[in-house]
Amino acid sequence: MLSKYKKILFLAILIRVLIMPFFYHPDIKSQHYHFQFLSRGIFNIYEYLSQNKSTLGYKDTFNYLPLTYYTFGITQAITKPFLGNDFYLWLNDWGENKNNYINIIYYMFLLKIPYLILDIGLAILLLKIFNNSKIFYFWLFNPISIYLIYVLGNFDILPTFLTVLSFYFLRKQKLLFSYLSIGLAIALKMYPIIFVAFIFFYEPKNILKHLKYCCFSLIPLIITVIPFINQNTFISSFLGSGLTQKILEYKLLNLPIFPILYLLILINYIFSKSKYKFELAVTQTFLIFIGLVKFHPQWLIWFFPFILIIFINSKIFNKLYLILFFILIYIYIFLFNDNFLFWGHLIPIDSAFIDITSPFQLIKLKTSINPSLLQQQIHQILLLLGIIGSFFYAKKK
Amino acid sequence: MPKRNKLFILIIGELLFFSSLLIILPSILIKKRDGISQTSYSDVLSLDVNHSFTQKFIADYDNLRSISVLLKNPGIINKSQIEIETQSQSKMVSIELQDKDKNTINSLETSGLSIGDPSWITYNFPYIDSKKGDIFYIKVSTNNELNDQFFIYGDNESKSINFRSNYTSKNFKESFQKNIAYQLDKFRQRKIVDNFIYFGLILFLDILIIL
Repeated sequence: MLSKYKKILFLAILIRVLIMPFFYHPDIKSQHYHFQFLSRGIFNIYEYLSQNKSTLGYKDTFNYLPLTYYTFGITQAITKPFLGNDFYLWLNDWGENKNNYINIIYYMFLLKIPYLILDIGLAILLLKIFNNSKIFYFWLFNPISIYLIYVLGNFDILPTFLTVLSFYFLRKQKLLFSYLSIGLAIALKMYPIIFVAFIFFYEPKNILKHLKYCCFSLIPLIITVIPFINQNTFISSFLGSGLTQKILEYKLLNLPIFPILYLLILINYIFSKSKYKFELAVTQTFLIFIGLVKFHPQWLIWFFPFILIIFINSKIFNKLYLILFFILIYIYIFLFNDNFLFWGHLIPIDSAFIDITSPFQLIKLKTSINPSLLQQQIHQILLLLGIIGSFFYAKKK
Repeated sequence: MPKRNKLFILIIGELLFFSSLLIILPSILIKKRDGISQTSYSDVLSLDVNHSFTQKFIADYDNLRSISVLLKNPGIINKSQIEIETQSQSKMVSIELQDKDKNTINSLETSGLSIGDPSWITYNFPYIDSKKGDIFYIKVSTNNELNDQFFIYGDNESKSINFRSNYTSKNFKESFQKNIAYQLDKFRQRKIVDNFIYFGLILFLDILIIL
């Protein structure tokens, strides 16, 4: 099946190879700063960071799960011979010269190779699931996933890949593998837990079968977390990531809105007869999530493969709605008072990019508009549009 | 279309991509560039009427436009506003930029009130029509007799001080030329094998696409 897409795949890889080295975000450095300790024989990163905080160049805690540390620690160890000694000088340099290393472009290139493999793998997976070349092309050539994977350079593509893999197994009715895949994704990052209910109720008539296997979605998390569960350093580091707080933050009459709307989406999902009910439910969750949660840009990738399927199968009006929604999301992102979300991405080309006026500063300096207030207003528009869109998709058969 | 033409189009496209991203975009956007700096000294040296400091540096770009020094005024935090004003207002710190013959080109007088605990004091001036390789001196002095009011960060032995320099481009043409030189310099500093692997991979993908 893939042979007829060979040239398209090479072109997609070429575009990515051209982009990968020249874009940077500090998250990729801070994450790899922590991952380096695995090859130094540190197995409990939480305790190590807590005990050595005063001597470490980068003081922040490791806010991810143990499996993330082991997976990417091993990946970094494999890449080590290609990275060279300068890589570790750069990784441990948090001083004034941290952006002035000439080889940053090659570090970015090498560190993003695992993401490239997962990204291409995800495109092939989408082609296998839907047997639709349009989805394949859209995944490979849309600027949003390229931005999320290669500009932001975050590892969220791995749990995203595993979530889509879980959906692939679900459609093939291989429930054990489906729950194990989502389980691995959860053990890497907690967010895929919001998709478990959609897997569980995918075929309500087979609920007993699902009941038998659903525990596998938590087994990888339990196994990898058990050695750390009694440690305060792990608990405080992990809770510091803030997704749970962010989900519960937006309240009406003291009730958190996101869980209530999520429950409504789930009820609608259980009774839905749509061919795309899973993809629709994920899109609905995304639409309310964006409006109700102060999200990090890289979180968009969690939902994006499923949104793309809805986008492709939508009529022009719905397509325009989703395009508008994403334009507003991008404006929201660019209005952060953080130049590393705008010009700072280009520091592998020239470290002077970080000193260029960011959109936030430009609005502040040249107009009477408060950019933070403008960003809040855009978030409110996103909430309104998200709720309207979510209700609209709830009616879709 | 013949395969050779397809390869040619691909390579032209890639060259356009690289030149836009590496040369044209920085030439349009980057007007100021940090030059030589010395920021590693941590000795806190007393700056008073008997102790002034002169630091030599060689410009690493054309058109010098600002210099910065790291000064410290501990009184700015520990004392009341009235005390600070009476103590610091009349006492000035002078930052002079001198040429290779130690003739003053520009000078800035700043009151103790504008010095933090510590803070980089930046002296911006209309750019000097200087060239890469020109020698300059930064002289920091004060009219303050007390030796516990103003301090400068430097090296106790050599009396060198922490400083930064900043340069500008006069126009797009100059910026364009500078960026080409800057990127070529960076390219040359990278390992040949790394450059070879990266560009070789691109060429290999080009060939796979056209075959």
